[in-house]
Amino acid sequence: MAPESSRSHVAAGPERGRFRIRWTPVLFLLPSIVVFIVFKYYLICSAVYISLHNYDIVRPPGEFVGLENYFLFLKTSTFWLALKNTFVIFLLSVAVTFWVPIAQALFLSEIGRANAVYRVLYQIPSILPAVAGALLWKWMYNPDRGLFNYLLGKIGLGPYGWLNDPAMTKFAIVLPGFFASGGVGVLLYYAAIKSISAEIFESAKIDGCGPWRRLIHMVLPNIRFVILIQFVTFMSGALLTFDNIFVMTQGGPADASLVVSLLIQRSAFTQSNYGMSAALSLFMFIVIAILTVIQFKLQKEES
Amino acid sequence: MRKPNRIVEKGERGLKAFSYAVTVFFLACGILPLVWLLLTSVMDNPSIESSKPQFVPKIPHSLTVTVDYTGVLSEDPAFYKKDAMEAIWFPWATMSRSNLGEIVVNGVKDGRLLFRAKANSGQFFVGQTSIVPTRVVNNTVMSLKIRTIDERRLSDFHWYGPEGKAADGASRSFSDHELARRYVQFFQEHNVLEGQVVSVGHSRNPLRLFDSYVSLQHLAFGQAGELGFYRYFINSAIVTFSVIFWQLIFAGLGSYALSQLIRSHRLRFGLLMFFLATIMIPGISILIPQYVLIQKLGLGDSLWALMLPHFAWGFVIYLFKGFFDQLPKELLQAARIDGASEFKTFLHVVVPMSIPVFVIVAVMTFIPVWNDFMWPYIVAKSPAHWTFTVAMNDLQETSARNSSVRPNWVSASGVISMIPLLLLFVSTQRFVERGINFTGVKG
Repeated sequence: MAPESSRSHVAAGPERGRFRIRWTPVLFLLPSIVVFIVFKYYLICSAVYISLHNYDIVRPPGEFVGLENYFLFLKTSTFWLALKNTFVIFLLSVAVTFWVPIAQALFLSEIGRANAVYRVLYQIPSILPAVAGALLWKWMYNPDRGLFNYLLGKIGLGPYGWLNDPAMTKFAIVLPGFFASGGVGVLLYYAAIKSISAEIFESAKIDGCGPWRRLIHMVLPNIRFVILIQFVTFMSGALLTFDNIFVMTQGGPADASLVVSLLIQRSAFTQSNYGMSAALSLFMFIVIAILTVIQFKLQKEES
Repeated sequence: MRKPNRIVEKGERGLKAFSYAVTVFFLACGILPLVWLLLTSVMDNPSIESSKPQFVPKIPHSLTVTVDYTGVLSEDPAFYKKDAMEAIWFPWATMSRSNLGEIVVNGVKDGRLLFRAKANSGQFFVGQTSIVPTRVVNNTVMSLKIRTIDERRLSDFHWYGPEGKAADGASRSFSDHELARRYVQFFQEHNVLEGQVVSVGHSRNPLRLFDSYVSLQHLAFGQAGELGFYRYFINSAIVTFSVIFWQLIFAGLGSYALSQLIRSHRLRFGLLMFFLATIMIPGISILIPQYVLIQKLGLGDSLWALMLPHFAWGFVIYLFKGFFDQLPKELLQAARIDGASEFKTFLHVVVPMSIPVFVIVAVMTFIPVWNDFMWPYIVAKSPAHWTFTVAMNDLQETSARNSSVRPNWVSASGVISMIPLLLLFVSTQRFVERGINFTGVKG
């Protein structure tokens, strides 16, 4: 904290000719402004700068290559494979995971008794850190000694290769999300459902709208803003997922689960190709930004 | 019987029943994997090694051995220690596939207890590959290994001395449990001990089911130093609490200034955008420059490197500002008129009114920082600076490479990793539920 406050005279506060400068807000805001400038704005500019160089971490910045890093990765088949895998995993996790907390909250809202208890119980899976979850599932997926092949074998299925099978590994990476997708999401949706005014329901009841239809035609549309917000967060999370894939497969087998975030880590820290890695990461930033804007546009048009 | 005032709609009962079914199903999905984690962490060794998953742990065996040194002249503890280690490690290596939980060796001389040495399966399996990698049984081998045993505390040795307490119950009996018989047989075949094995007792020790937790500790002594596995947890805790501290104080003060102290609308909006726009930047997009910057600052491989990037979080500013905007202005004005400085107003008026938002920010900071993996993995090179997520991944990688790390240890590390978040959830559930209402995500 000390070095920041000593710089207070340099930083431009809320200085306007006609105002007296009030130093208290400047002091209050200064630490935050400094860390945001250093750890966000400087870094994103620096990312652009690095991506334009054949970056040498020992003797920075190395040779200036312009946009070559971008053209270079666009030409590799590994990149396109990773991009495809990223989107396949994203779509799979939408299909397997995203709807789960919505369904949980919807049906939870129909249960009157001991509701709070269920909400607490729904939080339990989220106490397991992602890395620990990945370890647990990797062990359960073990083709020879794992729990799944044993249990499925009992009912005459399998044995499956799970993470070791290139055709199955993406699904196996996404599946744990189905089991542990409760968490804060349920609380958010639940709060949104409960805040829908009861009058709407009463009038719908009088109009002869049954409980099932009510759920689908009245509750869902009323919480669609929350769903959108959650989807945007979910999307950037799923497109940049790293921890569980890294722990479970490290991109294998045969690059079947290699995603862009893994490629970013790999090209920087195992191939020392920092320029390329920065270019890749900016590319993902732009992709996600565009997708987010599109979603908000669509939402606006609809309403 | 229907209640008179209430008309049960068609389909309402069905929906209710279905809702219960769905809820129970999802709860089971969420909780059963955790039960499996808990169960495998206390699984005995043969069960975890077996080709079929086992569901009920078997209580490990415990052997208590008495070695008589009557007639041996040496009074040097080191001499007896080596002998005790031989009495523990050599026979155990031949029985490593059995469910042996602990060996206790009592050294007696002239009816007095000379020493007591102990090793449990947690210690044994950590040391197995370095202490008894082969079946070569002789004194030279053990003399070379004593240092490793001491360094990683792979056995306990307590020296009572020749004037020590009286040996209890001079029962010179040999249990006829299979393990006890194999133990006796081993020393009939290998004559390495200076003393005489005079009794082998057999019992079962349920405490030894938790040896996978013990193993984690001994495994980490060699890597992270004195504190063992706790080191990783302490690192995670230092990082997490520093970040929470920063967010509560500085992000709190900053948002308060943004919300209540800046009068110019344009400036306020500009600053708000300055903070909130950064929410758009995903962590991985600035991973490389962040790494370069940390190296430049000379903070690579230190705990600073792990916490600094977490200080700038737009979302926290957003949460704080949303709450502070709703504070009653009159109250703040009153405090100012009373002559309180802005900082005092913040501390004595704003903070007490805003406990819920502080709790929410603490929780929302705690979870991602505590669970963070990629950044610590990249930046923390030496085990002394690992967070527990990095340590767990290392454990898992070693376990996949060779069998020196057992799956039940990995499970045990998973169970331990849940404890802090469990405590957090239990203590803040009330606030989190209330806090959902002002996170602004509500429709």
